Amino acid sequence: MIIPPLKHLYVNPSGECNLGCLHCWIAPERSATPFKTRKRSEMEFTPEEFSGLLEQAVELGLINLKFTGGEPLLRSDFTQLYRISAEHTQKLTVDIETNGTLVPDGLWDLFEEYPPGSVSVSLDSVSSGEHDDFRNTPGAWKRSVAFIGELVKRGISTQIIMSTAAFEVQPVLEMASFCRNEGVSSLKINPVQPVGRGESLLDHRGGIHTILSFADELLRSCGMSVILDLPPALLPLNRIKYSGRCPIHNLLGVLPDGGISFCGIGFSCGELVMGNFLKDNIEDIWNNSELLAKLRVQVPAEFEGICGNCIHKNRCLGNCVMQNFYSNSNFTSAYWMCREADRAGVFPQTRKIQPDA
Amino acid sequence: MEKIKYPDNVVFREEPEGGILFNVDTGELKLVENVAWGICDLIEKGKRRSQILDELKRLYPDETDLEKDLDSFLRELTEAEFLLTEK
Repeated sequence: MIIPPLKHLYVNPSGECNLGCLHCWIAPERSATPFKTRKRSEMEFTPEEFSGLLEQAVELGLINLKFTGGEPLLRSDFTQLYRISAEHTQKLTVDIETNGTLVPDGLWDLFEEYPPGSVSVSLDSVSSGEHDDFRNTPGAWKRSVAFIGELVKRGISTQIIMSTAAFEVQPVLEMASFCRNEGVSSLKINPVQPVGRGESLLDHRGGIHTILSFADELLRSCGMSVILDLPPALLPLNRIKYSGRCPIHNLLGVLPDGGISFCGIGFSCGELVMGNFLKDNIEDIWNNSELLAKLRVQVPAEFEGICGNCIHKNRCLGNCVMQNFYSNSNFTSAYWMCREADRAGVFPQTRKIQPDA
Repeated sequence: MEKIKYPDNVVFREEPEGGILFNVDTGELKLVENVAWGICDLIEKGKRRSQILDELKRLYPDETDLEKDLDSFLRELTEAEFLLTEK
């Protein structure tokens, strides 16, 4: 079997978050105070240990690193982690996903010195009350918006990530207008996933028909800078080239305790933790993990159901294999939205390898 | 490059915004929009290269590089194994 390069690391420096978002797929512990950074806990890897991890990962082909979380900016030593990444090699682009409510000391000066590739900030509404309710933290909206303004002012590529469980178009149009006015580069709309806290949030929603109606109306109303995170089979052709793709075959996730998983899924599914970089060699995990070997064999070749019969399967790769694992305990189950669309008879026939008779 | 057709393992699917060429053996796909979509549709209907060129000249009488652009697109499809061409 050919071992692909390890191009991406999703690094979760903190197992906690300062907010308590209703939809969070990781559902981390909540930190003691909402708007204060805190020192590294005993359970979290040190900057020196992180540096050692990068040494190994670069040898395996690393070109991109994303800090995500649990809120990455919660750690007061985040700037050390960021500096280590930025100084490690000029070939490495460093991205950040954050709720934008915390600013560790020295962050802006560091971004001036080493601008990140992009920063994605979670913002769910142009209404402070709605956002703060969704994030379960009064005052979050004001801080996130100020953070976004600072990023834009410094010329940093900034994306807003808006989560939706309501699938209503008007709030997205308002957010798109906000992005234009504020100079934000792009707006990504993330439908809430049935993982972690999102599982109960989606229970009472209207199902696939609601999602597809929402997508149809939204994509006819918005420009290409609005990215709707749906599998390509459910997007019109002119949107597919702007849609993202999970780099699951070239990706590892790093957990705060040094655990190595496929992404942040290791928070929710302990059985998907393949080792720990504090004691294991990353190259050994990447080349010899039985779970990785299984993933490489099965995805997409052994996809089941509608994903196995989809013309996009080689690129889409099941949209989110780890979401599929979370729901069905295997790598080959179909993505929930596509499965529901197929069951409801609204999966596009033109996107099936073998259309229905 | 006069006679052109899709190989047996390539299907062309049309949607409101464009078309999709899909190789069922390799899983490769190519999305086509605008003029490229129209050309693929004409290939699907069994038109020869000269007939497609005539149609393009009719639709775009002011364009001067139509033949060159058409041949470039057909070559691209052929190299990607989405098209069979015969002299």
